[in-house]
Amino acid sequence: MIEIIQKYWLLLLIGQYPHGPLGGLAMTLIIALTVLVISMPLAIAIALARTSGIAWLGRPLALLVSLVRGLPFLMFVFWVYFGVPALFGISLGGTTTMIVALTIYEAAYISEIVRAGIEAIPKGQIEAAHALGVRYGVRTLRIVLPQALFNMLPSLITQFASIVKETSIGYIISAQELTFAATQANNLEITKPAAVFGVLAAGYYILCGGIAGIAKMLERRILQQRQRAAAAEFVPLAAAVRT
Amino acid sequence: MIRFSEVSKFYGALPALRGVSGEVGAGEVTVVCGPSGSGKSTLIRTVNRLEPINSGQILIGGRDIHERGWSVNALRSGVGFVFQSFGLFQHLNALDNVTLALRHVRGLPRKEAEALGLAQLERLGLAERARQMPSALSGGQQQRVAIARALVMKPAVLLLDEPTSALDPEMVGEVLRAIEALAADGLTMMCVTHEMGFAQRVADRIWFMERGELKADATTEQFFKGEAGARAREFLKQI
Ligand SMILES: Nc1ncnc2c1ncn2[C@@H]1O[C@H](COP(=O)(O)OP(=O)(O)OP(=O)(O)O)[C@@H](O)[C@H]1O
Ligand SMILES: [Mg+2]
Repeated sequence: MIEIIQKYWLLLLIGQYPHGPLGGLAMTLIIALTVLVISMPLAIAIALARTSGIAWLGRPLALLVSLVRGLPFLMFVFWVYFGVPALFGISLGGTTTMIVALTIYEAAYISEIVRAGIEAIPKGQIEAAHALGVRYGVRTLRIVLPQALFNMLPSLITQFASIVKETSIGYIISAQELTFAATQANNLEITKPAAVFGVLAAGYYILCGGIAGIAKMLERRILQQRQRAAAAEFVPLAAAVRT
Repeated sequence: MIRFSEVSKFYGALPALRGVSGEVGAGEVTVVCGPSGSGKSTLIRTVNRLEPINSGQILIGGRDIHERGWSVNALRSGVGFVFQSFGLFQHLNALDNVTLALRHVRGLPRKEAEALGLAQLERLGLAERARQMPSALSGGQQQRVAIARALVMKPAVLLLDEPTSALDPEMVGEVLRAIEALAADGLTMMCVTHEMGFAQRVADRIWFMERGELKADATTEQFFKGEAGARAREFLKQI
């Protein structure tokens, strides 16, 4: 395995760049981050629409989300890969296809996370905002979303790890990413698939494990912060004793 | 200041308010009491349209709360409301809780809002707590922040729904004293409470509700003398 890493680390890291297209781990991360950046606002919009209480907005979106969540991800890759050229007469290429398919898929999943975060905000705060005459936009931007997204940060980071893993599907439509680079290395070596795909697995595990670790740490921090806050309730009492 | 005329409200088929009529005078404190489920919360929540009514009319300062051109948010920003469970924004410190509506409803610049907010917190004995998060405050302090948040908007009236019911007994006093001070300043208030000692000291009038009806509307003196009717007398005995 060491030998494989020594020989192909650059290919696994950046693909054939600069002699060919950028690929490897770099492209995996670019795809995953792009998907996150585009699907996040979509997911927030879907979650807000679904929690708005406006039926004609919420119902169809609920149906759409459940549809997307009920289908294998590969379906979306195929639809975008074959459907877009058929419908619009343009070919997107592997990487763009992956980004589009993953964005649709992740927007649905992340919208559920955001929705859970919104629904977990105590009703009393929303009612207090109403009673102050705070309008919807301010309520959403200043009260609802900051708390919902903060509380959901660990879940959102975990979701990012799963996006990273899903990018590997890109291999089948020749998106230049980490798995694709590994198969190129495998084709050059021919006799060492175990070592090559061992390195690939280790790469994903370290990356996604690292992301999951960050999520865990954040979750603990958030929990600690709440506990510390709860413990601080005794401070005024202690102060009262001193005076 | 607040006039209810034949106000009725149903939850589905269940009548929560049945033809309530009464008036809260300017600068007066009206305590609303009555058994659980009698419609006390519903009544005060109709005033700032947190609960829509099915019939009747509510006037604040002579203006119908449903008047065209009086938006629900404009109405609410001029009516203070204090909830049993505080309803503080947990991600904002005490001062930011107090200034949120000044800045984003009234549109005051941050500096100005914070000066007003700090002054209001100080009046409620919370100057040192301004930068603390709600979760770092005691229940009594949290409720006083909630009161400051309502008062900083300079409301024409303040509505309080059992402001001390969620508090540990040792913190009830500090909140009641704060409300008492507001009454002394001449603020018009409607307060739902079971604290009858407080009612006797602070209220100008007592409203006794039962099954959605305003069964008695008496001066505090009359009420505690037992001159507000048999049902009110019975209620008073039970407490
Ligand atoms: N959102 C609601 N949906 C349906 N019924 C409701 C709702 N809110 C209140 N009710 C009912 O309306 C009636 C009056 O309720 P309300 O909360 O005003 O009483 P209350 O006098 O404040 O009681 P408590 O002392 O328990 O707070 C009760 O029968 C209650 O069950
Ligand atoms: Mg009530």
